[in-house]
Amino acid sequence: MLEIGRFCAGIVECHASPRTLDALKVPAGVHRCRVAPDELLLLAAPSRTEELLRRATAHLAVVEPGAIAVDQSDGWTIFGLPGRLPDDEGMLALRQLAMIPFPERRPAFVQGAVAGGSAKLLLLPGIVFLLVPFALRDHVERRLREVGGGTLRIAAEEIPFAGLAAEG
Amino acid sequence: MIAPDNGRPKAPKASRLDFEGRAIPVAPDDTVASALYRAGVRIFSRSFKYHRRRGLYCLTGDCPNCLMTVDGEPAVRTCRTPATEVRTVARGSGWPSAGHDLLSILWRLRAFLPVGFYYKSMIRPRWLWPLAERVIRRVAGLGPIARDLPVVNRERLNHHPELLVVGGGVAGLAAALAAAQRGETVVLADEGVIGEGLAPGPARARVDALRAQLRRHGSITVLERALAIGLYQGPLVPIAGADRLHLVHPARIVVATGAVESHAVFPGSDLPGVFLARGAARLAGVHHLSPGRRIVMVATSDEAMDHLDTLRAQVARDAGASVVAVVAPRALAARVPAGVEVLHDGAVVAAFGRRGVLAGSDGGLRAVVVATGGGRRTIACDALVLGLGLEPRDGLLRQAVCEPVQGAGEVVSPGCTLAEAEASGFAAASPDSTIAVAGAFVWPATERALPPVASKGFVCLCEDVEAGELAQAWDEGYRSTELLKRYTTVTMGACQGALCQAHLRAFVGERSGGASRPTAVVRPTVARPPARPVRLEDLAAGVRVPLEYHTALHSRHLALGATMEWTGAWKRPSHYGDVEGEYRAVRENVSLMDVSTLGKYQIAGADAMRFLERLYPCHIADLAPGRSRYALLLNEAGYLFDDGLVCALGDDGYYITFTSSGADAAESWLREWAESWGYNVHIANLTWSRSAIHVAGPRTRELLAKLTDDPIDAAALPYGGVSAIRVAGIACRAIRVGFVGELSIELHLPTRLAPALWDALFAAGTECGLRPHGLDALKLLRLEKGHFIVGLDTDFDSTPAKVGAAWAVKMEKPDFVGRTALERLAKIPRERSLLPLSFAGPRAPEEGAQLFVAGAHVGHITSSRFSPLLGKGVALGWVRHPEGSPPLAVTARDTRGEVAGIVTRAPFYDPRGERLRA
Repeated sequence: MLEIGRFCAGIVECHASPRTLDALKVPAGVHRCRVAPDELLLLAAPSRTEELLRRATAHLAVVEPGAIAVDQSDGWTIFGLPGRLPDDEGMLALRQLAMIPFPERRPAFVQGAVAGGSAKLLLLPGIVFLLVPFALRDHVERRLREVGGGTLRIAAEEIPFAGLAAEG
Repeated sequence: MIAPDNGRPKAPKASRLDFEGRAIPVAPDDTVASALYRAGVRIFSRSFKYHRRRGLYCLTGDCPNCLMTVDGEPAVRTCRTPATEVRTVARGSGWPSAGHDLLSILWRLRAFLPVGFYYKSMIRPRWLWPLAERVIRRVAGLGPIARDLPVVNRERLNHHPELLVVGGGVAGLAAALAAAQRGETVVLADEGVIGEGLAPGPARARVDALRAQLRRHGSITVLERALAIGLYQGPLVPIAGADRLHLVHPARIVVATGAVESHAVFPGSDLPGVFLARGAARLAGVHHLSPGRRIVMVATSDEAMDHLDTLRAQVARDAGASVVAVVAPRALAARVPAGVEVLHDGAVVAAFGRRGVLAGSDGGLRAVVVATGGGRRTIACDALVLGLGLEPRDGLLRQAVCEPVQGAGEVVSPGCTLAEAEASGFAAASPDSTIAVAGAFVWPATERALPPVASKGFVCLCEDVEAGELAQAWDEGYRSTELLKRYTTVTMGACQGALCQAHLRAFVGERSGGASRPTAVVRPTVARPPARPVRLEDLAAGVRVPLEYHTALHSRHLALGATMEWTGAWKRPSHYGDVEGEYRAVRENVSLMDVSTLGKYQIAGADAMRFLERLYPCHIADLAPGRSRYALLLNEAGYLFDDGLVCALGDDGYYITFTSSGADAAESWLREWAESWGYNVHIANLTWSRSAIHVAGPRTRELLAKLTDDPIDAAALPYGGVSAIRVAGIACRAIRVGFVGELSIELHLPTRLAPALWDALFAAGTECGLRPHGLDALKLLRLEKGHFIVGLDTDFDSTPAKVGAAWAVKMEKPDFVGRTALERLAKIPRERSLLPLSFAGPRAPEEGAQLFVAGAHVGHITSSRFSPLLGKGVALGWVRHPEGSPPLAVTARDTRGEVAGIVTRAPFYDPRGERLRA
């Protein structure tokens, strides 16, 4: 039985020039996900959202006035799928829904279509966090269940995204 | 975790199958074809056009002869289908049955049915063709599709190996092993179970040995009974597996699909009882069945002689069966055992079948005519085994254009030895091996000898194309492989040219130049996917479920009994069961609508104002913080493609909205212009993280006042105003809007808090007569105000002036997207407008109703509703007015009759806007 977790996270999206984003330091436990040269997603425990937003906003205000940091925590639903190897259960479920190649290195961050919708994947040792737009939560859950064919359980409640070592 | 096949239920392993009402015993290793053959079945199908009897021929999955309806699925290759997984089998065509098919009379009528007859006949009278087409479709083909099959929901599985090997023969296995030994990830796909179709012998032994090595490599994924459908750019190779579609995205590809025995073309070569040598060897060596009692074999290679040995070993076990003659070149004659007559350097020129099919005969082979240097011999036999050489099974390989593809084994060197095949597999798997390059891919078979050109016999078994029909088509002017293919459909059948391509090329080569133009330079027809017939369910695998967006309030809508509808990719409530009640709640009390589906963006950066000013046709620079403005989105041609609001936020830039279904296109438009102009702007998509609830109705303030301490009066939050307020303790951005024509406030808030706010508003709104409204009510509410909906009321070429929104365009601005085009269009008289229409009487015309003026068609209605408050129909419609001024009156004609209407002015409701500005 594949157990898929649900997570809530503090997600802060920063829009600034590449140089400004490169210079943005984040504290330990915060994952930097570079969405685009001028867009950075910071992922942390939900309890750290305000702190993260404050730090990012302060940095941007000084380095590049006009750049923005926005709280996007509510915009994403996060599923946690266990697995590392391509044939691990969680990865196999993802491979049925996504054409994106998954790198073997960890941590890794990739973006692409999952179950037909835009998604981001944060691959950490032993677990893959699948971020899908909040509006796609039901759709992706349905598709996960379909490819799971009864061998998969998705947690009903969200738990805070936390406790995983992050690369700064 | 791969889900089990979640489609068609799998039956337990069966010991017998039902064949047209007969119980047929099944051995564990049987295919459907071998089980039927053992049970005495000789006619496996009827041919596509002439309904000729067809029996087992290739047994390698290449020819169409064994295509049957298996468990309701038509055109299944029964020579590759394990019998133990099947419950029912039937022959697809034939009337009244395939065994006794009266439609075989078509063969006798062939003079009236020449190739392309349907292009040339039944042109007059015109009504005849639809009837004829129906008859042709019923008579021709491989059988009807069952309509009661269960829905099959097939899934995809993506693979990203470094190497994909298609074909599990010696070359393919060697390629896979070579790559795996270098540490590469490999996917190996084979149409069957690797090695299963090979008779015992050196090839089988080598395949078994390589396969055993393969299992020791964890980096090799083996897909058996998996059909490679095609080779696409990427590269991408979709492979239809037994229970799912595999999408393989390899770095390199080795195609090792082997070769197929050369098809023979002579009169009677399609009779039941004529076999290709590999197929006959499989029947004998794998299934221990003799292809006949008196067997004649034509053997032109060492491999064919190996098959002769296999056949002889089988007939030795089969009392009464024998190989009576072998036609072979002198060089191979020494391998023919004593006691078997040898005809040196001969060729089979005709075969005859038994007559009296209607009397119960199977119509199979009874004799062959062999021409030798000494004349012609007729030999009585019931099986003819043809080992005439090999043709590459290269349908997949030839699809390569510029993909990194390499052929290995017989697909590039038909008839190569096992050692050569293995070596070629090793070489092809190397990352350094030559790859196919656009325009430079050399089809390896161009140097091979082509078969002799026959004047009679079936060139194409799939489509029933005779040699004489090629000649006829040539004489009609179709003088290339491609033209002949399209006109005669040769190479277009189930085998995709595997059997007939060489004959087509030989024919074209001979006709187009003879000695001066060697046949070898005639290119084969273009190969395209699918390389093998593919099921529709495989094409739909993984994409049958449309993307479906749900707002945070989706479950609330369902709990309220909403009927949902699609709006773009969103599911939104059409209504909650009482459209008029919802409408009246807005007009008389207060109502909620979930508008979270709106596109929502924050635009910031040093150039944000300059960017939006240049983007939108309205003024942006004068928009004070805390104010919003309705804005059209125009493309460079000046055509309207979306609309929304622009809200000035001060230091935080701007907050802009787009329509629910237009947001994706609008975002692309934003980003393209931002990049193209090089402005310092940042665009944050807040659509997912912000929800929005529209509170509308004269009692809106009364409701909100219960939940907020912030000022929301007309002074603090006027029409068009934007302010930050807390409602039910939740921080919201409040925007005064006016789409429905009442006092309305949109509350934009973090998505996950939307259910809490919705619940709070509901709880507080009971005393105010609150109820939600859906899209149906919204469409009437906005129609009463004369507001159009982009996409519903507008066309691809709608300009602001045409839809009555010229007021939203400030031509005095020096520049904005579409300005130049609008300037030019303004000089051209407008001949068509979207106009407000009013229909007195008890009903409004239907949407789509056609509009007429004095009997002349002038346009159509895009939106129409009956207004309960106004007591008349209100509508928007496109009306042509080439004379200048629009008409004053129109007649709408719909499915229920005609309705007289007038062209009027909008808004129909509250024309002075007092209610929405309250």
